[in-house]
Amino acid sequence: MLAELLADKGLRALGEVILRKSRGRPEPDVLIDLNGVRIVIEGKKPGMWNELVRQCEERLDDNVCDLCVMVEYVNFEKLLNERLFPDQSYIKKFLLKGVYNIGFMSYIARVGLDRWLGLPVKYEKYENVGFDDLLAYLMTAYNKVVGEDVIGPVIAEMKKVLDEFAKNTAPMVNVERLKETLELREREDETDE
Amino acid sequence: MKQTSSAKDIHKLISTAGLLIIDALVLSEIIAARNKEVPTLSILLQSANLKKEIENSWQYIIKKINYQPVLQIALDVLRNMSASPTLDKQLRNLVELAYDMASSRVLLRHDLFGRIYHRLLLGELVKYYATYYTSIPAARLLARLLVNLPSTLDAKDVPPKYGGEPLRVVDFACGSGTLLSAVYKELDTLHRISSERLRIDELHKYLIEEGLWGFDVLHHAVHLAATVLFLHNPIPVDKSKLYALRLGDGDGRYLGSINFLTSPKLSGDMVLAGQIAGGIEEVSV
Repeated sequence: MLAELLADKGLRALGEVILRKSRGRPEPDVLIDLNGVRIVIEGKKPGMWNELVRQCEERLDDNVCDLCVMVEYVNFEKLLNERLFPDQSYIKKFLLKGVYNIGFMSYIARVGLDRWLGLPVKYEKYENVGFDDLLAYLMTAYNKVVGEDVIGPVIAEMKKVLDEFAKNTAPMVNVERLKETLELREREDETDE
Repeated sequence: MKQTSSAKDIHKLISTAGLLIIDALVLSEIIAARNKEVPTLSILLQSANLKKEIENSWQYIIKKINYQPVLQIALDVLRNMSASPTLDKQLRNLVELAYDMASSRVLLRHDLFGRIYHRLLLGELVKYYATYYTSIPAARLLARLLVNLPSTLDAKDVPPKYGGEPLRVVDFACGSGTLLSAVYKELDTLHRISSERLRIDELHKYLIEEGLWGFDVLHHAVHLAATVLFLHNPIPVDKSKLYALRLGDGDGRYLGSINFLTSPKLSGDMVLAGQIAGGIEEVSV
């Protein structure tokens, strides 16, 4: 229901949204495909934040999604106390007026960029926010996932190491033999012209 | 008369050799996680003779486990380099880089090798191969259109079906596998969204062993393509459908994938490296 509300209230403005609901564990609660970016929403009642973090790390490492949203329903007890058997419209109203602790963890946090940048990359967390803020933060997180060249620093480091490798080993490499090994052949000109 | 390679081209050539070594090191680290006889990169780094230890390790994997099409070219490259303290020091740098890369499963799915290979394209050395890199956004767009436009494609189960037949996707000039990798990602996503019962590992095995076909005349590019596809989900696979094809050979009989225009058969003599399991295979052109 939360994912449907998020889609209807804003995500569809960003593009095509496909929702896939869980058919049981170990699948995620909800998988959203937004323009090819896979977003998982994991929700839990209060006091289970660490479990949410662990679950999101697992989803990202297992390539289930590109962005994982952690949602802790702060006023969950109120829902239970007010209605024993809440219907769909009550749950919808409750979610729209709900209070949440939310977190966004993208694959960027799991790439291990701290090794390449020297800076720790952490997930974002916001406490006691309403539905509109949840939607706004989610849209920002999505834009960050699609907009950031996360691999850039890794490519730069690879290039640096390979340049150094080539520079230092060039005097001891038999170029013709290496070309043969790589099965690269140059065209032999028929004349000297 | 052969033209002499420029200093810039030699630099690119050796950088490409280094890239193949890193690529093979990352792969061997993943294999080491499942095979205790294969030394990890940490163990290799402790060795006094790093070059020899790496060669032994790759030789063991090729002989006892598999992955010959991926590791052989890197092994050949390494064997063709003369041992020296300088090479030892440089190899250690490559191993350390491979170690950092291998420790992030998420990182490995991002076609790193293809992107760096794009920067290293060998200039004059591959002028006659007309190499052109498919950018990742272009590959992603093509793959999304291929997989998501209305069609008979059904990825609920494994193998995915197209027109009721097991799906096969062929890239006749696959290079480092950017397009095949993008198609892999889209099929994986479609399966996750549409399937009642997720079979991610089986899908991976099918796509690598039967579903995704790639041909190219550059052996080292095919090597990179194989690694890029394998690293999407590093579980054991028995074979792949990526082939390095012959080009030229004096009488002009071999023209890579263009040979399929005269016959859809993939004959043994067309293949530059690797093996055709079960004899000649037919390719739909």
